Amino acid sequence: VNGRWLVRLYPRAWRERYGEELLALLEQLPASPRVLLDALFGAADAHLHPRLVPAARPAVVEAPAVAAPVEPEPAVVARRRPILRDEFEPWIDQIMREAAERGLFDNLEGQGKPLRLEEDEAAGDWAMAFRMLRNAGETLPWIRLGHEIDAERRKLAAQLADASERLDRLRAEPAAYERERVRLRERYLGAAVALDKKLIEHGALVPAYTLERGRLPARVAEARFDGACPELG
Amino acid sequence: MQLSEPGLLILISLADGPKHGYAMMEDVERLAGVKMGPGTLYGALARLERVRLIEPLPASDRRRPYRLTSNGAKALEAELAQLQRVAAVGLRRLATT
Repeated sequence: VNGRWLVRLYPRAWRERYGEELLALLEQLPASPRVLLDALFGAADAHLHPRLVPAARPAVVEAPAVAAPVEPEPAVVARRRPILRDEFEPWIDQIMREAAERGLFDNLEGQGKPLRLEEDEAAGDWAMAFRMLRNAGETLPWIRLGHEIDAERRKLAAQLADASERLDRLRAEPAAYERERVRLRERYLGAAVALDKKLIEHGALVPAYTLERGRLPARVAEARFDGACPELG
Repeated sequence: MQLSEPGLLILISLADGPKHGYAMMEDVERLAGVKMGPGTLYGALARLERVRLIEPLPASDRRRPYRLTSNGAKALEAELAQLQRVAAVGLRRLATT
């Protein structure tokens, strides 16, 4: 195993003491799942027991000629304390990310194939919902709403381009330009409000915040319109 | 102190002289049929070193040998004697049923 990335998963103090020799050992071992998993567990163990690393002590240089009288040394036992989820989540994330970057999750069965939600036994309570949606020729509510949002965004952009073009033709008549501009602006902002409502609804439906589509606040819509269709002056 | 199974196997492996990690893994597999992974091995080594049952020797070619301390030899002896007593009782019980 080229174990450099594995060794990096251990805490710093641990690496400083054992990193080099563990690396040398890993280089002698085959990259089997058993070896990799065991090293991963070792890293987890080292994080969970930060007192594992002995105090820095130089290695014994040579054996004393006469055995020194042995003083009984008090055993140092790591103090147990409850482990907080926040403490190990970051390094579980790190382990997963580094493993993914190493390609450990590549070429898994089913990769790149569509999820068959309706046949997923693990879907539990969702299984029936997925089946009903499919039977109704429907897709998941937030996906359908996402498509609607995409369509409305395109419509809004077209509306703005259209308004700008129309106003350009009225530049010679300031009064008509201003009247028409107010009308188009109201229409545009009305459509923007409707889109923003859908964005709010979508944000409440999606199962993960990374799937949210953001918002379209009135301020932003106004600035967009006024940028494309400025007042005459 | 209660020795873990890997800890005990490591002490046994070091009983006939210093060894580095890979040599311990091979020795333990030969002697007990246990395949000890690198994480398990180093977790146990760190614990044994922490309570000074073993000690590190200077590394050669990046591989660091460890050896039993006198405390380690005593602990191993006590543990093995205890195991022997337990084993003897178990065998006796089996023989009488």
